[in-house]
Amino acid sequence: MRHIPRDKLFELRIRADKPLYANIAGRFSPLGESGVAPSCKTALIPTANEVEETLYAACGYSLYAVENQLRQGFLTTAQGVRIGIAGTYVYEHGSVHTIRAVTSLCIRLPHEVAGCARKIYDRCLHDGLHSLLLLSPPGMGKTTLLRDLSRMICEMTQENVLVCDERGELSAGDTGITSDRVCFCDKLTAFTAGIRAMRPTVIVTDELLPADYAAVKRAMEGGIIVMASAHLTDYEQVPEKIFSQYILLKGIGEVDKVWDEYGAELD
Amino acid sequence: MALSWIKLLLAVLIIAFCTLLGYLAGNDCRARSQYFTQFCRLNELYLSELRFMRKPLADFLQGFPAQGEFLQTIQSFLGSHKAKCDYRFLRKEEQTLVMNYFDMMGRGDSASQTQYFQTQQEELTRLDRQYQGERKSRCVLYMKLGLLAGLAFVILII
Repeated sequence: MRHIPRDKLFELRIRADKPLYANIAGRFSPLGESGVAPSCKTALIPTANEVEETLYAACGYSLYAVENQLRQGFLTTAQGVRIGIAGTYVYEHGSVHTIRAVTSLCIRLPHEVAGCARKIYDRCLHDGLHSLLLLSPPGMGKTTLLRDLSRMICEMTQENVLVCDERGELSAGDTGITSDRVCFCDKLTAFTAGIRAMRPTVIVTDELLPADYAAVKRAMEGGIIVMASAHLTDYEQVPEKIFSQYILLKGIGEVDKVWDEYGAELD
Repeated sequence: MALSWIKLLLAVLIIAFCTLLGYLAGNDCRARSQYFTQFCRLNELYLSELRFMRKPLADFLQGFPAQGEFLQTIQSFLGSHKAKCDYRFLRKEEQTLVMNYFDMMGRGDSASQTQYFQTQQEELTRLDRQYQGERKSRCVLYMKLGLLAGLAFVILII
């Protein structure tokens, strides 16, 4: 790892008894003892025990402290590193109890890119704050953008921003001087408790699922502006058209298309 | 006159020295008792932690007011994730108990950890009570023996 520039390392893929891979500057390469390996035949091959020990170390040697996250198949460290976990799910009383026999880890390293939301802010929020939804496939920087957007809103408008951070990723960086964070709880709870307790003007949240739209709608009906993201690639795929603008991304900070609330493409 | 004072001083010194030897003879007993009292208390607090706050293990252990050899055990575990327990006053099976205990800490969810460490609670409480009893009886006995030995020396020599 010390042979790889930290700012170019985006992701690590650790699989038991398979070559170690890393996403360096957008490209997956096998890793050997001295950095990038010429082929997967010379790459390091972690054992199943090493995968489990890596996970154990990542959770601060305290699996019990992160069991709620583990049940959802992920772990977010204090530094905002998100670790996806693949293994055997154990069920109890019909719900996930834990994951055992962990075989793969997907470690995503956060990168704060100050100013990456400038184009979105200037193009979509120049005439005032309104609800918007960022759309893109995974890995296009939605979380990085939302974090920077929150920071910019705090800086430019001094409005109270509530960051509902279900997975602890948005909080891995500066979310703004007038922002409050609610971490590691579902969106309905975060929205309800956060709105009552912190009285925000804007809520910023990540990775909306269809089940989350009801909570978003309730917040908007209460006059709160919601800025969120979703793993979608088109306006038509959005389950409920409740946002003022829909922004399709083609890279970190790069806007491909913008639709208004009726689906009309904006310039 | 001066000789009497010297004899008296020598007698006091001999008695004090022998009593001190008796006190030192009880060191292992005291150390063992103190170790297991802290160990038992740590387990109680850990069970409570698993039920409520569930702080990360490092934070929990750093907040525990350990002393002496038990503090060294905790510090070595925090540093290298291996509990130091090769103390003279711990028997082989007790060293194994300590190593296994710390090896298991943090290795499961709160339910399985609670289950495991509750079974440890019985054993630790038993050992704590046993060694506290031993400390009270033996340490006092050793000091008394030391005192008696000192008196015997004084009578024989002086």
